[in-house]
Parts: sequence; structure tokens; C-alpha cells
Amino acid sequence: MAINADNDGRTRIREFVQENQLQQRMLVRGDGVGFQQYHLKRLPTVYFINRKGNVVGREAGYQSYEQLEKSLQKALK
Amino acid sequence: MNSEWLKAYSSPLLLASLLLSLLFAGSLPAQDDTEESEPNPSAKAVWKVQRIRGGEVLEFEVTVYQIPALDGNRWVWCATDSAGSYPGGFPIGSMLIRGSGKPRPELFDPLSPAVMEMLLSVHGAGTEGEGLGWANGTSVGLRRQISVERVETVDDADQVILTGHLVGGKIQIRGGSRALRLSEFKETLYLSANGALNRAEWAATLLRGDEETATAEVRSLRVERLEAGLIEEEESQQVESAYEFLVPVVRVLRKGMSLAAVEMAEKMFEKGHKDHKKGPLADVVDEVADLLKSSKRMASQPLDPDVRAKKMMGKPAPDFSLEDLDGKMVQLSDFKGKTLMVAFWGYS
Repeated sequence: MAINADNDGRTRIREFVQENQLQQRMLVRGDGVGFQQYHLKRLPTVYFINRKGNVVGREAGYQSYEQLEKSLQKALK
Repeated sequence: MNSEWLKAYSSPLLLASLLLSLLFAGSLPAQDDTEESEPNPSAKAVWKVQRIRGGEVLEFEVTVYQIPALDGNRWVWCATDSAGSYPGGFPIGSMLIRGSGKPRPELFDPLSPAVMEMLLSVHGAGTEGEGLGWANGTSVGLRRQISVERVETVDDADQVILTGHLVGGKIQIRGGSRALRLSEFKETLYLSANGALNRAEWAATLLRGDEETATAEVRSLRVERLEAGLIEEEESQQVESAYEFLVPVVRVLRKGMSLAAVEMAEKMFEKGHKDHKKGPLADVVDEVADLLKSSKRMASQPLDPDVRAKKMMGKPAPDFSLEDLDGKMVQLSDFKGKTLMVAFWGYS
């Protein structure tokens, strides 16, 4: 899922989703959750959560597709 | 509310005070600053506020106490939003109004920009009748006067409705690559027959970008007075002393989230909070106590988010629920049993 943590308006987010044909579940107004509960330093930041619901990885900054896949594989173990 | 309040509501003194403080005060255009004026009586008003900006809706209630100050009146405000918390991060602040008239910008206490915007708008609401006039752009976040043509509509004997429309076509607010133009503006003021402002609505459409690519943004501010009444001198003094006690605490908290600052604020708070626990600002005292607790929790953590994040590894992911684009609530724990990739992003 993707969470907008920049408090962008819904219209802008919709445009972004359409332009990039994103498939993820898109949540909005995540700045509080992001910065307080998930300790963001910069955007984007990706967290990996395993089946048990534990945090197993965090990648800050832009990641290549390969990097993301590698991290995801680790989380799937 | 008790019957004393009801009596106060209908007293002529109150009407005079509202006339002076909530309406004529600071009305446009220039005002004679040297005019001697009696301080307004102590009063209390509760306003319901709704602000819409770019699709975001902020709703809150603000209680405004008018208490005498050295050079005029002070409006001490306490605010809560519909969720029971406060807009802008801080629950209390004030604005000084010189004499019976103009607010003093240098003494604004912008603890909560949203509340200050609302107070300034109410304060600056014009009262001229039909014809050309000025509306307060603060209501929609534009720090300028907007030239409007007013049409007076008298509904009945109890109410006057003043509607103002933007004069001419578009107004350029800002040029350059991030151009901003005001294309529509409407101001509607609902006044009682005696001149007190009961309700007001300001709505603006702003165009961002150049002629071809401009996107429209709608901003509006709606305020409605829920109640108003004179207060006894004793209550006024209690408000004043509680305000003077609370504001330095909040200011220290606002300056920095360092542990030293929070502990200093805590010490200041512990010295006197018992004296104000039962007064008119008791709710605000509780809010500040909570604010101190959560600030302390935050300040005790390492400063660097990356360091804090390391501590999360291998631990249960903090649960949360947020709305999706269609307004449906989504909770993280709903996905238990699935591997999740959660991407926090921003449009930049």
C-alpha cells in the first residue's frame, strides 16, 4: 500500500495515481502516522512488514526496482 | 448555561460591547488611533469555525474571552476541533486590540494560524451598506484588502445580510512562474438589527499557474457565533491569570522539542497548575498537561529518525488507520498474515 505523507490534496493524489497508473491501495493524510509512528526522515520511505506483522526492513529514499525486490524477498522469508 | 448568562445576552451593555469589539473594531478603512475610548466590558463569545482549503476541511470551536488590558482589550482564545483536540498544535493564545479598535499585529500571538486568521477576519468584517467597499482577505489566507461591491439585503426586521462580490475581473496576487490569481470572491455577513455580527462566510476561487495550465483552488471560511455574554470581573481575572500562567509554558514547548525545554516547561507548569485547575480555563489546563506528556515522550527519543527507526526492526509494526482516496478507513492490522510493503511518499 502507499501512504501520502505530505498532506497533498486528494485531487493532486488522484492525478498522480492516474498518471503513473498505480495499483496500490492509496491512503491519505499519513503525515502524522508517518513522522510520529514510523520515524520518517525523507520521502519516499518504504517499510517491509512480514506475515506476523513485524517490521523487517526499511529503505529510505528512492530505490530501484531491483533493490525493492531484493528487500521484499528478504521480508518474504 | 445558567440564567445569568441569558440575562447578560440581552443586556444593552453587551450589545455595545459586541458592537465595539466584534464588529466595528478595526473596520475599514482608516481609523483614528488617537481617539480616547472606554475599555470594553469583559465578555465571552463562542464561535464555530469551518475552514476549507484545497479540499481539506478544518472545523473547530473557539472560545474568545475579552478582558481589559493596559492599552485596550485582550482577546484570549482557547480552541478545540471536532475531534476534541486543537487546531494548529496549541490550545491557547491571544490577540491585543488597541483602544476599542485596531488589532496590533506586532502583538499577535500566532500560536495557531488558523485561529488567528478567523479572529482577524471577524475583527475586520466591514459594516458599510451598499456600494463599493473592502473585504478582509485574511479570511481566505490573502493578507490584503479585497475590493468588493456590496449589495445590502434586508431579510426582515431582525437581520441584515450584506453580500459583497469581487469588483472587476481577476486580481493578480502573485506573478512569475508560480502565478496566483483571484478569480472569484464572495463575502456574506449576517448582522443582527443592532449591528452585531452573527455569522459570516467568505469564499474565494484562486487560480494557480499561467492562463493555460491554471488549476483552481477553492478556499472558504465560515464563522458562526454560538453564544455570547458578559462575564463577571472575577471570572475575567481568573481567565487573565490562567492565561498568563499557561502561555509561557506553551511558548517554551513551542520553541523547541529538546528534552531540556520540555522539562523546563514541565517545571513551570507544576508550580501553578493547581491554582487554575478549577477556573474557567480548566479544560485548557488539562490540554496543556497532555501536551506536556506527549512532548516529553517525543523529546526523550533520539533526535535522528533513522536511529529511532532502527529500534523498530523485528518488532510489531505500529498499528494505524487512515482513509483511502474514497474515504474508506483502512487499518494496518486488517492485513495481518500478508507480507506488506508500505510506501510513504510525497508529491514533490
